[in-house]
Amino acid sequence: MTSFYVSLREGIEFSVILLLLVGVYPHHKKRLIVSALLIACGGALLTAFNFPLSGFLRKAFTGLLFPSFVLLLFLSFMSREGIIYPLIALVLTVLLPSAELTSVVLEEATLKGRWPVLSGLAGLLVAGLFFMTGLSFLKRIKMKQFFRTDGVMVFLASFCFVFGGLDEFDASSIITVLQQGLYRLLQSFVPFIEERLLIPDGKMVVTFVSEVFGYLSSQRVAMALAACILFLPPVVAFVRLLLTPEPETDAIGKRAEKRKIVAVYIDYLMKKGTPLALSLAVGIVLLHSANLAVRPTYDPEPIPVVSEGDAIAIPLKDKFGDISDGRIRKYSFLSGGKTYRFFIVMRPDGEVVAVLDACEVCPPRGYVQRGDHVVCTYCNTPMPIQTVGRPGGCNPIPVPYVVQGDTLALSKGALITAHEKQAGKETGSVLR
Amino acid sequence: MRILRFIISGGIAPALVLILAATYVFLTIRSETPWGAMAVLLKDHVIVRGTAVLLSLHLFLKGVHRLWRGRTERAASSILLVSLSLFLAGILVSLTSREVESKRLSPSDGPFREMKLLEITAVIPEKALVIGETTDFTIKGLTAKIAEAGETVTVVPFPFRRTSSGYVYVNDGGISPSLDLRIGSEKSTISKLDLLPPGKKAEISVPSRHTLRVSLSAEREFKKGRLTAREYNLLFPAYDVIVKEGERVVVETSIREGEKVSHEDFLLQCGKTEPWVELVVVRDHAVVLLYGGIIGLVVGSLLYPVEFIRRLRRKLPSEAVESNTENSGTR
Repeated sequence: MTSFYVSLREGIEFSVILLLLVGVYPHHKKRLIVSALLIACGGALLTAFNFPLSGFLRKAFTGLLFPSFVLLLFLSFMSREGIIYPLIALVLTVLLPSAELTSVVLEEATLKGRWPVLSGLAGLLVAGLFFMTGLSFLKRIKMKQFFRTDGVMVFLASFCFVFGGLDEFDASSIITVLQQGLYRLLQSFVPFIEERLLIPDGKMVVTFVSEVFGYLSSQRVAMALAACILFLPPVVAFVRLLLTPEPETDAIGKRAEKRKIVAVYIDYLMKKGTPLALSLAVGIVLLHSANLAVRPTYDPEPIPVVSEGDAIAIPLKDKFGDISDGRIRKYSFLSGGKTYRFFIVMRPDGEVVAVLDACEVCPPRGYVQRGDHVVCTYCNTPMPIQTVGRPGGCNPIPVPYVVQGDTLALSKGALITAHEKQAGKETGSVLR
Repeated sequence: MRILRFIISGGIAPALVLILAATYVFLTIRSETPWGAMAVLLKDHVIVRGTAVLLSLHLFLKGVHRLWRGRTERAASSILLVSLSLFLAGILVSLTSREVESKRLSPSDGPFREMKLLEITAVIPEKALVIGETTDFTIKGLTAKIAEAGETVTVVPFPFRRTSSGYVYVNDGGISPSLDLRIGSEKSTISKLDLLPPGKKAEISVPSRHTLRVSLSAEREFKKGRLTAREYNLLFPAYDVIVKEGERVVVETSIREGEKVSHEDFLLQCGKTEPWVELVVVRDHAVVLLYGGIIGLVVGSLLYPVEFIRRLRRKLPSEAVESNTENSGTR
């Protein structure tokens, strides 16, 4: 069934893009369909001849994808009908990996000795039916009323950002990859320019200008540039739309006629603005997820611990690492059929603290670490690690402990009491 | 005239940009340091270099042409175009014509080119604190006084100074002991070691089977929790010295000015600690172009949004009328 779902999904993705293009540019219908079929077959053949993918081809695909997406977005600045040809070429370039992916999955499934070719073909057939049905609907919808040429490109780029490209290969969003590509460029280009402008790069000499250049080659600037690339075209298209002058109605005598003209104008703005607003929303979501991906969270598996009498002893340096690395270390303690989770961390001031993997406010979903913060996985509130160990709010609940040499010891009773107290509060808040 | 028209024509810029962008994309696939590889191509490869030259020429002529025709309403984009061309030209000229020489110097050294370092002034704190592996220690107010062609010139890290040797600036600085080394009958002096920020180790291969490792010695060590902080005295510094024979440590000690370390035929004497600066002399005709280009790009980028909105407002009525008419017709 995998091959059925994969070919169906890729086929539908292909069809949606093609339907949009055919809907907005009906006079290019034949050319669009023929070229799409050619590219689909080309992608499949290319993969078939080059299976498993050679390093260069794979790198070339990823290398080609950035400029394709970026160019697609920036072509939206030139809202002319003539742009349809480069647009077709670009969209198809972006779609090429879809055809390739389908082919790869089919090949892999074949190796497993099932019936992948037939089920894959069945998936493609269903996608084909979806496309034919869509084509007949298109005649009624009149897509042109929703899109100007810039809108088409911005919308298509957003669609490809979400469903296409690298995401399917290595589970990293295209924006993260774009950011990393830009970061790589900045990392070498900025020092090059710094050197050409005779700005010192010695470690002991820090000037204002060298600090500015240091900032320019940071991850943050790379992300800001990626955001500009992502948002500039839809924002410009939006501004263009909003600056569309209101129709002249002063010369028209009848009020009904005036209202009708204004209604047409508003309708025009609403219809053409909707895809752009959607694209912007998609962009914001993608940027947020990419931002999180750049600063990944750290959520270690809890290490089971046992007690000796009432004491639970945690070594601060063992095979799981050294606590001075600043990372949180989670532990689970099993008692009376219940699991009590807690974590320890070394704060930037050098103090090791032990806290429950829960706060007083939220249901006990635990915490993850993101850089210098721990983040509550229930309410997503980030707390600086420096404040861990302080009670109240969404801070993790402190547990009494002592540090003796290289061991942190806490009381089993105190741990259970703190946990029960939290559980009681939570039930209380739910009941209220 | 035809060539000029061809260079200035609208279609050429996207083609040239596309060639350069494609080259960079190709290099991202092939090389781990794509910009470094691109710089090499810009310097040596006829086609890549020719494309960049043509692009620079196109941008310059296009910008000047606009201003020449009195299109002041597009002044911002003209400034951007001209500045970009200057910047690009600057990079190309700099890649081929730049000559760089640098040397670590202390006042006791002889002349470097025609320059003699007279004095180094710097604000070096008496104590430096390193917590864990991190420190915010830097040298402030680093200044080198040099004598060149009978004139005394003060050189700082930024801005650079123009002298008869070229552009001169201080790239780095530090403090280092002068170590007199004697192995058998052979004598040598080691100085201007890179020992800052405190904790940094300088590894020196000496002409024998020995290896020498020198670093600043911490005066005090604090512990809070599991975090360690080290305090270094920079006014009267002590140095940790490790002498290795192959992989075997034969001497491990701490020495100050005037003290000695010896092992068999190996003798090391610690001399006076003195500051040093890394002086860089650059000869490059493109520095003016690069700075002109950057300033123009900043000014142009600030002005451009105003020009863009104005142009859009002027352009839109005609497009909107067409669209509205078309829309009304479909209703």
